[in-house]
Amino acid sequence: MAQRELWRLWELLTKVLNGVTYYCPRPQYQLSRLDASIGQKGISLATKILLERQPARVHRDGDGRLWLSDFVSPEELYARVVEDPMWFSIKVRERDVQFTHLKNILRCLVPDLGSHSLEMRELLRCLETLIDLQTDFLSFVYLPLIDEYLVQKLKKLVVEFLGTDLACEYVFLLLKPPDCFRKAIKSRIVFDEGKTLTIPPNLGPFFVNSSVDVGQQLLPYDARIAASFPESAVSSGLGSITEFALLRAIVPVLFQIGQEDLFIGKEIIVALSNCIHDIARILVQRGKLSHVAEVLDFDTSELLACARNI
Amino acid sequence: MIIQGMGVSPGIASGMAISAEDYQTRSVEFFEDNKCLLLAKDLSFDVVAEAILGGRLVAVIAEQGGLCSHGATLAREFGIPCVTGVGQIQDLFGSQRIVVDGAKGTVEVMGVAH
Repeated sequence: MAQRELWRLWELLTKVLNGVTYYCPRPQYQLSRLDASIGQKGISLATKILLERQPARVHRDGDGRLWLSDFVSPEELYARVVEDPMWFSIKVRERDVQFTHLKNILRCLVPDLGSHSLEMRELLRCLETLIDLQTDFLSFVYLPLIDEYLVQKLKKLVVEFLGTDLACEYVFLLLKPPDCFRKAIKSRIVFDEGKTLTIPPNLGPFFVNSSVDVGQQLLPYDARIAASFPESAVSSGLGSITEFALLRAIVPVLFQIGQEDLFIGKEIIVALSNCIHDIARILVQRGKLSHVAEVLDFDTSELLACARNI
Repeated sequence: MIIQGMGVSPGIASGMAISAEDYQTRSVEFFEDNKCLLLAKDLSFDVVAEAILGGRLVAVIAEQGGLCSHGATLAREFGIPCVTGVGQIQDLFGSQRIVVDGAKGTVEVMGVAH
């Protein structure tokens, strides 16, 4: 499988540093020293959490781009999913437990941080918690890395059974949006100055489609595809039956995870941003900084040490 | 001229194509029938969400992105046709009228302004 095929949605850059090959999947994102420092641990741990390998090497260049080595590759992820679907199921459950915990903590923290009235001691506790949440979040966030690739594989397979038009209809039903944005608008959606979406934390788990709904809508198509199998299996081999069953089960789950990740990720970033801004404001008041933006030049340990001295 | 891309949100719509930057800055009078097609580099959530909230969006054309892109999901949620994989969208700027078929994945350029 060509690397470019899997990475086609990414502007992948590569470079060799001290004999080690690094790649930069998102060169358009340039992070401050502080932001990179907060995210680095979670990104590095993703290889350990998802693939039980050594943590990846992560380094930030002078322009703020993150470069990764020995990271979770789409090829590796795809191979694991195909070879061991049970592994995928276990990882999804692990993520679900982790993220339920994460969302509960976030719902407690966000209203306090939104008040902008916390004292330094409380802000520091919030910051440490949020950094841990971001680490947990990022260590699972690469699970849907191959969603688009699997969708295209499924679509190609379904075209064989239903033809192009019905296959498109099938895929659109399979990837039915969770209607979260509409609900968010009704629930006071906010765009802050950085155009980041913020959603009130008390909304509950509105992200996920009911798998029952998706299943019922697709039953007529699934039945038609299944009825085509005996004939097609002879011509294309039994592999296509297994492949269809696998993709049909996995694709909607990966899609829903990807959607949920967007909202949770944004919520964490907004909470972190509020917390860091309030800490920086106090540091300016106490003469430790001349401007709040200077805080972005710290790494996390420097920021925590500086704030603890207040 | 018909450009073949990948349909990621079904439906047919037509209008004047503008960039995300123009969408932010142009006055209401700039838009034909107060409707427009957004030309975007990719299907990022924020760009598509902001255009939808602006209320003039009838379709999206993007260079990059796929069925699982957050912007594509958003377009499907709001029934806005969307085609991606359309190379060099800057060539479409200034086109008088464009028709997008989000199921077939086609972008039809009806005429070019001189």
